[in-house]
Amino acid sequence: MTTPTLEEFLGQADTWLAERYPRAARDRRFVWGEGDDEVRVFQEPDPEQEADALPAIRRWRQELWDHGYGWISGPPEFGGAGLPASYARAFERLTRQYRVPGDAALTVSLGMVAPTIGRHGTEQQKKHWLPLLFSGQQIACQLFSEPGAGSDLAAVQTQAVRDGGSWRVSGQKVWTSGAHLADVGEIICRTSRDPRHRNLTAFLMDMRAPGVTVRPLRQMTGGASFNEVFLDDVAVSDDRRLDEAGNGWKVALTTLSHERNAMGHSAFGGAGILSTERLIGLVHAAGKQADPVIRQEFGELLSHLRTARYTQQVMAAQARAGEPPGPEIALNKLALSANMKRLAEFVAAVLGPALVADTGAWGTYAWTSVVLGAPGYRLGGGTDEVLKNAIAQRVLGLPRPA
Amino acid sequence: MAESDTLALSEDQHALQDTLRGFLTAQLPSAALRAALETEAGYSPELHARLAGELGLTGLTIPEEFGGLGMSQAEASVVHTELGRALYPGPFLASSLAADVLLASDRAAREHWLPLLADGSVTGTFAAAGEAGHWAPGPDSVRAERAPGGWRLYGHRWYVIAAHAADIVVVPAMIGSSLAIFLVESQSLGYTASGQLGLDLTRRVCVTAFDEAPAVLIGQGEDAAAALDRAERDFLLATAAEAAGGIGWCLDATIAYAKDRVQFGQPIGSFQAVAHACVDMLAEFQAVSAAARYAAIAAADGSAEAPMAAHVAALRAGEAYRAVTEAAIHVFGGVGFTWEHDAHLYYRRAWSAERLAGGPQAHRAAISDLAGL
Repeated sequence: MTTPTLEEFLGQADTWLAERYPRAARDRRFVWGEGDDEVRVFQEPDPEQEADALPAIRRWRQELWDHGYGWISGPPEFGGAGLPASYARAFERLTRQYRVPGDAALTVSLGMVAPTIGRHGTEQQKKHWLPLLFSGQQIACQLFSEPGAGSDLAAVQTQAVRDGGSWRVSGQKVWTSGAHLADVGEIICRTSRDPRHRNLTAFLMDMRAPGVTVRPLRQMTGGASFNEVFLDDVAVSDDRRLDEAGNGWKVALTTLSHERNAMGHSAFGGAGILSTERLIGLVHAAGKQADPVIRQEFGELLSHLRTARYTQQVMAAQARAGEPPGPEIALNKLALSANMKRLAEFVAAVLGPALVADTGAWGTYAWTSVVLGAPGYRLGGGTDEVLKNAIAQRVLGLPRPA
Repeated sequence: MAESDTLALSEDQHALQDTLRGFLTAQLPSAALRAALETEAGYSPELHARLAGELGLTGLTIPEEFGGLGMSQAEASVVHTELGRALYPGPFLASSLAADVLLASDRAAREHWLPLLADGSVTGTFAAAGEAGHWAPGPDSVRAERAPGGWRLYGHRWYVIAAHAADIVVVPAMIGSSLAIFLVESQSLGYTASGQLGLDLTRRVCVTAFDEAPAVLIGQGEDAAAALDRAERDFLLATAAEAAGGIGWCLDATIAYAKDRVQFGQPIGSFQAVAHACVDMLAEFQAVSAAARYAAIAAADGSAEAPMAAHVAALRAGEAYRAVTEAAIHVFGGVGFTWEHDAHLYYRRAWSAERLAGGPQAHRAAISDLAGL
């Protein structure tokens, strides 16, 4: 079979999408005062709406999978279409022109767990799990952090003990996104008394197995984007073990590098909270467009937001030219958390008391979620400080603390 | 623009970067730089001639029909980055701004002067700033009056880079209430360039005085305004790229020192406070490099984002360069505060370049205007 040109591929894909999905409104720019004024910092959907949306997301993935669009750049032996990554990016851009359910709820599943299986799984595991994930038949979450193991992730205490041909897992995980929706969880467990970093093992745990209890975790914004997961003697068969016993830390690092990449790249969409139009609308609504101090602060904020965007575009071009970023990709996450803080301070300057007490005016009090969410960005995906340690050692080659 | 592959350095641009860094590392080590700063010119004319002759840098962005290499801001950005990294003290930036404005001038001026600027036999500068540092025409702009035998200029321009080394001075001046651009030969009676005591030891600035100075009119009206805007934008692109280069030097030197310097029985880079300061420098290096590169490509491509990107790059570069040089001096500790250490040369450049490029308030205001606030 010959590879179609990008043009042929996109032409067929466009026809295929047009037959199944309505076109999105052409202009997705932000208009002040129109629609919902929600300012979304974390994914905090209403649990019922979220559960209702899930079947449509699964159907969308299955449709894609059945027609060769489920894993465009994946190797054919695992069900991928075997096309260049540029085709996958072009298809992703094309889908934005249609009202499709989208993959936002599957970032962990497809962006973090699937590539980890691709890197560490056996041939058998890749053949089994990758089609299940990319077709949406199974949705994955990531069971890493514990109450006693946050920044020091290698200190996880959840135990997996061999029991014949399987393992028994007991412990507690926390800050698990989407555990309540997931079918399978990538879990890091302690499996031996060997030294640090050699005593962990990764598994793909059945989230519906007896002994797994998922409870929502309400964070300081008021919503519940995360879960606590309690594990009470959960049986996990050995064919769900990822990589060798004792190699769990390497598996975890693979997943984390994909997580930081995903976080640094979140641009919050065209009408999102970092949209220039939305910020300008906010200043006008507050009647402060002629205030020279606000104009200075706006210029300063926008210079940081644009620089983050320019940096991502330059890095993307370098990656296409065969110079993919190394661990310094984590700098994008540091920029994002700093920009969230700057954004919170700017909206506070513009809104004054209307930020902290709801006047009922559209698009004002809603910004409290940025104020409340900003501290979470400094913590998520590895704290800023832990990432700086990693960059100092792995990029700059500075010595470890004595 | 968003998907432009030219945002990554091409093979030729990588080669240009490597050649120039190798050349300047060999030819302008700290001792050679300091020796040049002690001379009357403040740079080595021999080294400048080699940059012009062997590397063709003086003709980099001058079209081939006028004897240049015909390259764009994409390549200019690579060159400014390397010259900024080495704190190259010669009149490269000043002369390239003069060429920039001449490109938009009348044909006779272009045909006469551009080949001479391209081969380096003539050096130019652009004298645009008033005493308050603004480039825009104002009450203190230079005035032009017609006299028997040609135009005469009256007034002063300040902070003119490398005017002491310039053979020709390109200067905006008002004919009544309309903007025009003139060219003055520095040997002319009625023109003087006086060196100002300057914070930046590696980039000299002068006050230029025009007292009945004979001048040639090379552009006027909308063309003159457009040329002035373009020169200002290219000045911002150049100083942002220079900042990226200087930040790169600070980063490399600081990391090397943090690995080597032992206190309390361990390399200071193992202390988290020092290590995080180094990572912050890397973050600034990445951001300023990307912003400068993006702005240069936007200019080269004629993108609608180009004016915004130039001010964004200038603002981020200015603030970051000062922060990074200050942090470098701090990590070097006492030795970083000595005259003999090169850190202060970069610190001086950072503070000076940010002000000469308009200052952060002007960029923030411009960004708000351009965004439509």
